[in-house]
Amino acid sequence: MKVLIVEDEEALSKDIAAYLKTENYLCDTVANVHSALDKIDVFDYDCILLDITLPDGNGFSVLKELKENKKTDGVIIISAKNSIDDRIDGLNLGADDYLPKPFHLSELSARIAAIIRRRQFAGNNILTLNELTFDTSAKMVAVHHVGLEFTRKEYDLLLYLVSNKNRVVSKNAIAEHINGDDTDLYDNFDFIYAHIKNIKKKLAAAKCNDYIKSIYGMGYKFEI
Amino acid sequence: MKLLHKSLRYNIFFAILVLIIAVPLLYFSMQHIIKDEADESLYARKSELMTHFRKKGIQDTLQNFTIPWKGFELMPVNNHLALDSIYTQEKYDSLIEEVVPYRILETNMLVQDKHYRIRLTVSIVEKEELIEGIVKMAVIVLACIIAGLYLINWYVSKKIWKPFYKILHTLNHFRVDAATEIVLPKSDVSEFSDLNTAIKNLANTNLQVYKSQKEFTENASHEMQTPLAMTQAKIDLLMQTIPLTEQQCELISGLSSINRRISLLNKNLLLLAKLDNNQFVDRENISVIDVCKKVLEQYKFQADQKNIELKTEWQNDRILSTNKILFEILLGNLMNNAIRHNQENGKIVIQVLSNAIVIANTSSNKELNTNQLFRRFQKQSNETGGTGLGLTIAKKIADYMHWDLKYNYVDTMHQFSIEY
Repeated sequence: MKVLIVEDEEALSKDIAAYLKTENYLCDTVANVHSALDKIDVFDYDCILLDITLPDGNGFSVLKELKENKKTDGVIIISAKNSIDDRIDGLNLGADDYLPKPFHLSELSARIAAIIRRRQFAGNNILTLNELTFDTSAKMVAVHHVGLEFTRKEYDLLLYLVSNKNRVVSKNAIAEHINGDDTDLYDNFDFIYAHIKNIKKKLAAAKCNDYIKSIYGMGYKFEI
Repeated sequence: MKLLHKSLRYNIFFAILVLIIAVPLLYFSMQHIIKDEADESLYARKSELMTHFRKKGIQDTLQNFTIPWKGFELMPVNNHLALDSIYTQEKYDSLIEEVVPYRILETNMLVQDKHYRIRLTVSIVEKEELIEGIVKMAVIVLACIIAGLYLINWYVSKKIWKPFYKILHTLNHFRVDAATEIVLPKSDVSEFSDLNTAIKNLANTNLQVYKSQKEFTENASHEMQTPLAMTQAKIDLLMQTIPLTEQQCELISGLSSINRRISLLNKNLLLLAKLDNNQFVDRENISVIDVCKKVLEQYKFQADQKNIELKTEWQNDRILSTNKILFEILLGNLMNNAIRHNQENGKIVIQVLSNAIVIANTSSNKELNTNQLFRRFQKQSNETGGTGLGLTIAKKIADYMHWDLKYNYVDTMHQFSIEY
């Protein structure tokens, strides 16, 4: 899997690359529009992370270039400017997703995974990890080919952990992921514990291995 | 009191003063004039009479000259040394049945070796009549002056002060956050055009300062996003390091929470700046109850965490043409508030009335201070974790939509109502 990171803050792109490497992505990092255009000319990427405000121009021109060349690289806009207009413009120009800064790397990773899944298995979104199977189009989980009764939030949470497998996902990131922008409210994350408990119970009942590890109250890790 | 009325009061006061002084002055000078006139005519008659005496003799004079005159008496006297005397005397006039003042001239005359005393009499104006006349005149003049002053004032306030009232009206409706340039009526009066220029300069400076302040807030919030993203990335990577002790995990969790709080604060500041900059122009038709249900669904879980009972009362749905995102944020913030400040096993009542949404919650807090309620960073309880901007944003959104956001404390329930 190849990912291009177009971001002028090198410290940030380095950290993103470091995080994504554990998922076995190959990451190229560029810091301006010019180099980004050079890269997309030569290579095909599974996903491009695109900042909008770049020193030598606007990230939208990279999107336009992709569209003109009929390239189907998945694009996630990562912008400091969380404006609706930018979001709409970006999506109209063919971006697949829009992630406003600041974000959790686990969230970014999950979104990249989702885009790659969509692009690779168009219409047949089955994700298999040992005995665990996800049908991401139907939003179903099965263990040993037996479907489980998961609530929407439980499904989201489990898929989020799986998308960041072997990495610790913080409770903050989980709360934001399953509740969207309304996480303003949470002073305690007991509800995550309640969800995890339910998920583990359901998986155990279906004779699934216990992959979910709690990391000292900091977060959870799906270890496989 | 209006400026005009104030000046009018002084004008009228002065007019009254002048007239009060003028009445006795007029009286004395009139009296003097009348007396002089009477004296003059008496002397004139006397000399006419003398001439006649000398030419035609006393008999003829008495017959031809003096008959039409009532005020003429001729008496023979011995004492020829008496001098002319002129004086005023009051006599009863039987014809008009009144005591009337007369001016009398007595003089001696030698005609055909005989001494005569001649008394010439002329009636003059009565004192009372004179005073009455003068006072009447004074009152009429005063009335004319007051009426005139009022008319002039009315005209002045209508015409000349018109620009002033227009300026006042414009200033009353001027809002620095409306970001529209102030338009003042043109005036050819130099004072008003000076005032216009001064106000325009002041308003423009204010607008400029306000605008740059707003832009600063928005830019600063935007600029904060990237460093926040960088911190978040570092924290996320730190979490992946091995080995991790429990103590380190606690520290990382703390860092992560703080970073989240700064992000939220920044997000809310940005939202406020965007509201100030009128960046939410989209409108769509939305059912009030649908939005309420959606927001309730989002917050149900949080309410359950505190075991809060949610009671809903849908009375009248309305379709509003408004910005959906802002509407959801507004309701979300109020729900957030109602849950955050609620007690365990508390209650929240959500009502949708014909022209209002009412969200009421139980709380251990006392009635809130309405003056500070909607101001930035005014926390009225010890609850932590909030950004102190929730209600400010709610208020700002309500203002933006031209709705009314009100707080009431009813039956130990804190009640926020959005009236549209």
